[in-house]
Amino acid sequence: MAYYLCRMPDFLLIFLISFLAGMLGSLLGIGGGVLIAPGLIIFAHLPVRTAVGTSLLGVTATSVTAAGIYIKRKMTDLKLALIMETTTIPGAALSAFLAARVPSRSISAILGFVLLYVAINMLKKSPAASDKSTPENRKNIIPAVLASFSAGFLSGLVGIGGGVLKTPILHFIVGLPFKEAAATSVFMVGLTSSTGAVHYMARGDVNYAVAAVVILGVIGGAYAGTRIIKRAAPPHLKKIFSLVLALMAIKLFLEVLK
Amino acid sequence: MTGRYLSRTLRLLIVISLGLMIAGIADLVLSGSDFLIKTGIFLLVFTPSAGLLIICVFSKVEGKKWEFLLSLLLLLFLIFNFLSAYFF
Repeated sequence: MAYYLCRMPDFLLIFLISFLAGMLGSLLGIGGGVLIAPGLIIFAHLPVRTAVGTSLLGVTATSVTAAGIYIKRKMTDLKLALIMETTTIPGAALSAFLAARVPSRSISAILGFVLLYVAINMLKKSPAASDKSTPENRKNIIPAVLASFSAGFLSGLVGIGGGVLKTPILHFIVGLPFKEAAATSVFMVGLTSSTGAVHYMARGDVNYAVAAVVILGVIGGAYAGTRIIKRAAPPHLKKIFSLVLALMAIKLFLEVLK
Repeated sequence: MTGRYLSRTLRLLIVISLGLMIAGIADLVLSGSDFLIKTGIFLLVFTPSAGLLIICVFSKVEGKKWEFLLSLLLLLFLIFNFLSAYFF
């Protein structure tokens, strides 16, 4: 099979973007698709659908790499991840069913405000979320499950990854410390992204040569992220997360204004 | 026990997948074949499902009823998702 192979400097840029995406993904519990997909459209000149399919493979690689290490360090709450993932998936499935009937611009605007609100709150010290891990500070499981369903629904409608919503839900509603929230979220993101990636692969909407470069980059970045998170202070991680959320909110607002 | 074996499985599969990807890039450049890259990517995509299978088996062994049921439910969903993507 012949592939469109882009120039060497572009491949290096894709590798660097993927490395950064993998690092942010494993540090913050998000997939990193928010960086990979636009990078592939701009530098690999891939069609949007192929870029999204290829970026989903990168997100899966980030998640699997980071989750393997976080589970070993006992940072991941597996039971909570399973409970929340069981409700995220029906939410995403419902959004796929209703996508054509719901006004996606108004949903984008609402989600943009939600992300801005979360970004501002992330900078404040939250009384609900302690940075010490004890079984007692796991609370509000039922509201978290409902929020998780909404996260699956909204992210499916607007086309963003669930990680940007899962980490705040685990931190603010359940009360997990930020690092554990990110570790649990990154495990969940892998399940969701692999579900989507299979469909893109079956349709042939994946460029395997570019995907291999992306995967090499994100695995390196995710591994670096798991090393950094050990030493990083939660307030610094929260500031980076707030910045990512604010940028995503701006992107959603710009889509509404188009 | 579940966490230990789950972590080992995920790390083993990602290392194999990484090896296949590096060999695949060399193979693609030298002979134009994408077989190894595709194999590595398939392995990567099914790694989360393998993780769920590990949780399912070990939670059954350890008698953790809820973990077993939830992981089984998610695993069945992933199998259905795969079948719907390729066959329906």
